[in-house]
Amino acid sequence: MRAKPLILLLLIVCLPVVGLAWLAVRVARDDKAALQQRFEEVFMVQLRDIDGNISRHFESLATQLRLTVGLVELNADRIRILIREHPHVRQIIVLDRTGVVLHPDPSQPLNSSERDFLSEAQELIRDRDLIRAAGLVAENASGNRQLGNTISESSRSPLAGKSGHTEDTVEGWHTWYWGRGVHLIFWQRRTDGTVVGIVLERGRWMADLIAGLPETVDSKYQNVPVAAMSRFRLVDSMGNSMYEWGRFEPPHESAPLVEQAVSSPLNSWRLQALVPNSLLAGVSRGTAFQLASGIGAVAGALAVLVVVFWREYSREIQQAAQRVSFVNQVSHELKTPLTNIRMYADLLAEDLEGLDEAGNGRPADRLRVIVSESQRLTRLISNVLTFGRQQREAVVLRLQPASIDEIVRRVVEQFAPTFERLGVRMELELAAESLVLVDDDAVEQILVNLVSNVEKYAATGGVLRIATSVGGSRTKISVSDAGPGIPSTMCDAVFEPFVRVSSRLEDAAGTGIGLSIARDLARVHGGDLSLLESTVGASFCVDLSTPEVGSAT
Amino acid sequence: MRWISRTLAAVVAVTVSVSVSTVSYASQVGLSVAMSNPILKSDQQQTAFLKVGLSGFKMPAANRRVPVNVALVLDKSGSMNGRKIEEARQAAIQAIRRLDANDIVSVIVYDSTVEVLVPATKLTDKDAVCRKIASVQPGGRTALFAGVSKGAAEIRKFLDSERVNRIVLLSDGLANIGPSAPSELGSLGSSFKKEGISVTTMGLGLDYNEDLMVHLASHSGGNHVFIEDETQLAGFFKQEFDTVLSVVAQEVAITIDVAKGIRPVRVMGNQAEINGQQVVTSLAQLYSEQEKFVVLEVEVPASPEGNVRDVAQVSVDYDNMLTHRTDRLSGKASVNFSSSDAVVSSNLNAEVLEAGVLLFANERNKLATVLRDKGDIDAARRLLLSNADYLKKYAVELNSRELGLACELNGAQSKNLDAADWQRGRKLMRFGQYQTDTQQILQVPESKPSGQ
Repeated sequence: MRAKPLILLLLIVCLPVVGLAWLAVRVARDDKAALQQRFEEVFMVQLRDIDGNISRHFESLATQLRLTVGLVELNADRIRILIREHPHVRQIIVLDRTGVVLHPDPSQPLNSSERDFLSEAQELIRDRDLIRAAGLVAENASGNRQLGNTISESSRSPLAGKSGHTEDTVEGWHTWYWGRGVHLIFWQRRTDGTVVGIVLERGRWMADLIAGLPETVDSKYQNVPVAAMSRFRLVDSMGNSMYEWGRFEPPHESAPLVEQAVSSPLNSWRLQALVPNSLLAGVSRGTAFQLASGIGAVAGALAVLVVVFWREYSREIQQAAQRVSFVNQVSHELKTPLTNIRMYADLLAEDLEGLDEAGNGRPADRLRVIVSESQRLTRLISNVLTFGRQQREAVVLRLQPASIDEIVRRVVEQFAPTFERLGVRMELELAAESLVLVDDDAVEQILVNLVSNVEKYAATGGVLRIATSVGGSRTKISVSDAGPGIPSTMCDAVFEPFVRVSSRLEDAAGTGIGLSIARDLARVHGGDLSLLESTVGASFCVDLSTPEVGSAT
Repeated sequence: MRWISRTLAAVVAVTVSVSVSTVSYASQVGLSVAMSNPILKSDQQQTAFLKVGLSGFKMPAANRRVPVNVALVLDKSGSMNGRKIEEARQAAIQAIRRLDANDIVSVIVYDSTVEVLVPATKLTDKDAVCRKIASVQPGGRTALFAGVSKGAAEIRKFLDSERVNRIVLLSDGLANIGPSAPSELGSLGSSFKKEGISVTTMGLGLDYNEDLMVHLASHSGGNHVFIEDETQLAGFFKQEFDTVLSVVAQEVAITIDVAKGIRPVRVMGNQAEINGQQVVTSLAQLYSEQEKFVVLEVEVPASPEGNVRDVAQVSVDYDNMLTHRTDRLSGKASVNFSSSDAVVSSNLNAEVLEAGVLLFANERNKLATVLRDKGDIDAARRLLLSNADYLKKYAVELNSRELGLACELNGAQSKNLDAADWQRGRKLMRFGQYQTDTQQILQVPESKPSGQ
């Protein structure tokens, strides 16, 4: 009996906790994703900034090359001096519009670096890559290899002005893969139709690129934790790290958080940002911990409430049970002396019958009052006891042969003096004279409750009609009055314990358990008690299972 | 415009060339141009050495030394942990202590990444710089290329031909982040040399890549040393700063115009361009009272007896650190021809021949390294032994102590070719080759007793 509330209480604790936990997991997961995204955005912005710096670096390098080499009339001596003096220039190649090498001219005596260059650049020359980049080969639709950015008119060299063909001077970057990796060539198409390729010193442009990138800052001056905990990387086309900065030392082979391709001309290189996994996990672990502790607190508070509530509830249940048992005991104790009082009052009434004929009837009348009041008290007590038994589910029927009509008459007889005084006429239509198996105490108690209701609430109607009928093994008893009736809204409620149509104190007395007991007894007896629809007053029908004496056993 | 100035200068040079060839003024670099065989055998084609020697003048005592712009680029990778980093810090601090407020110093440390510990600044607060150096802690990998790149960027903040611009690079391991091929470092070095920046590379221990270090030093015109034991660090740093502080001339451009009919074969010991009849080479720096030279091997065609042939016209441009002017020197060399072997051999120029033999043997020593790299230990050993014989012959003939030492060195190297000794042996060989090629005066210092 106590298991149900216990489960309910556990559910009250568990359901919110489970719900909160689920929410928390969702929040933590969203939080982690959001955090990762935020990190990615932040680092992506930085990578783009860095890429912008790299682009500007190459733009300014292009300008520098244009000013120092690009405007000069070139011949072999001049080129050699330029190479000797210009730190960025490794070699200069001059081609005519068909791709024939004008410098370094293999038919002339060459120095060793020129010879080395020509042997390295065989493919570059044979495939006419620079000529194609300069747009001098018509079939470049098949493979547009112009990797460089065509410089706009505003920045074109003055050489173009002389010819008047503004689109004639074109320049840009060309990437050439040889040996250890990418080599950069800054090419120019000159107005005389030649293409000049300035081959940069690979070591130098890489060093300048690196020198322009941030260095790792002394930790003492670094107060941005994210920057302190990251590593940036410039990676070449083969995936080799060319340069790194940032305090975080990533484990071998760890994947970058974000990656950005470098702009032209180094588009095969990439910028990467790496952060420790613990940075992403660490923050969300913190959130998870907060959430978990929050849920824990809620669960704890609920548990405390439930414990307190459970203790109060148990105590009240116990106290109520004690009270019921006390009332039962007292009622039981009351019953014995009351029975004696009634018995002796009855005896006294019989003794007085003889006297009455001789003298006046006043002692007899007074005695009748005593008897009737003690009967009423008996009814009250037996109702309380029956109710107590019902609560303990301890009502047991004792079936024995009896006549329903006989029981009705006994009850009516009990109430006859009262009804007479109240001026209530009793109409009996009895048709259940035969002996049936029945618990006559239960039936009597049902009828007493119904009739006493009429006495209490419907005496103004002036009539009480009781009808019995038998059909097979069922007996029907109807009890009707012409009183004020029961409002339709109360039709069901009147059978609930402690419910009364009017609870005003000045109304007639009553405990409110009579109909409830009557219905329960009828149900125990294999039947029911129901309120019939009626135009005047109230009409109850008792339906009982009453096996015939012979057939039942 | 520069082209015009060169021709003008050449015209001037012709008028003064004769007197300048051997005389050395107190404030000018001495130029000597001489043939190994001033008299050649007649009627046969033969090769001879032309030596262009440049000797740094002595800085007048009254003058302050030349201010320097030095970037110390120090390896603080994990392998430097322990005694190495301690000695390196001490050596660097001792070197910094020798400089003063006119000098510019920057300190760059690198492991996986680069940290500019001291950005280029006038050295007004030595203690602050030393404190920073003393705080360096090792850990990480070796981003050598990036360290040098950042070092050069610091140098460039105050790049000035009136200062000696020098990067001093210390590394004890393989460059494993960033470009690491000797060719890439050589390319970087060539570029630096054009700007007047040279890199001295110090290899510490047995794990660094000596080719990479030699390439960077040789292309940029710096020094290279093999520091076998960390206790030698302070000694090498001291010598390096001795040389840096004794620079009297910079950006020395040497142009040798070889006479028609004579073929320039090769320049030994220094990178040079041979453009037809013109040979162009350069030296980054000349040190006080020290001679550096370039040896050109020439092929002289058969000529009749009594003939006099101009061999080459030499002109040298350099930045004089004393006068802060660009000086120009010129000289020339010629040969006579005789049919008498006795005349030919009695007229040998021992000094030039010694230099030529030394550099020639050095080229063969490099070849021995190549053979050993290919795994052909026997061939390498044979080459070294024949090299030793060659050097011995000339050592006796010229009564040359230096050739005798080189002979001993080749002999000793021939015994150190086995796998167990090779890692160390190769570093010693490359160090020796570099010293000979560049007439480098940095020598293995006497170790502290504790280092033994």
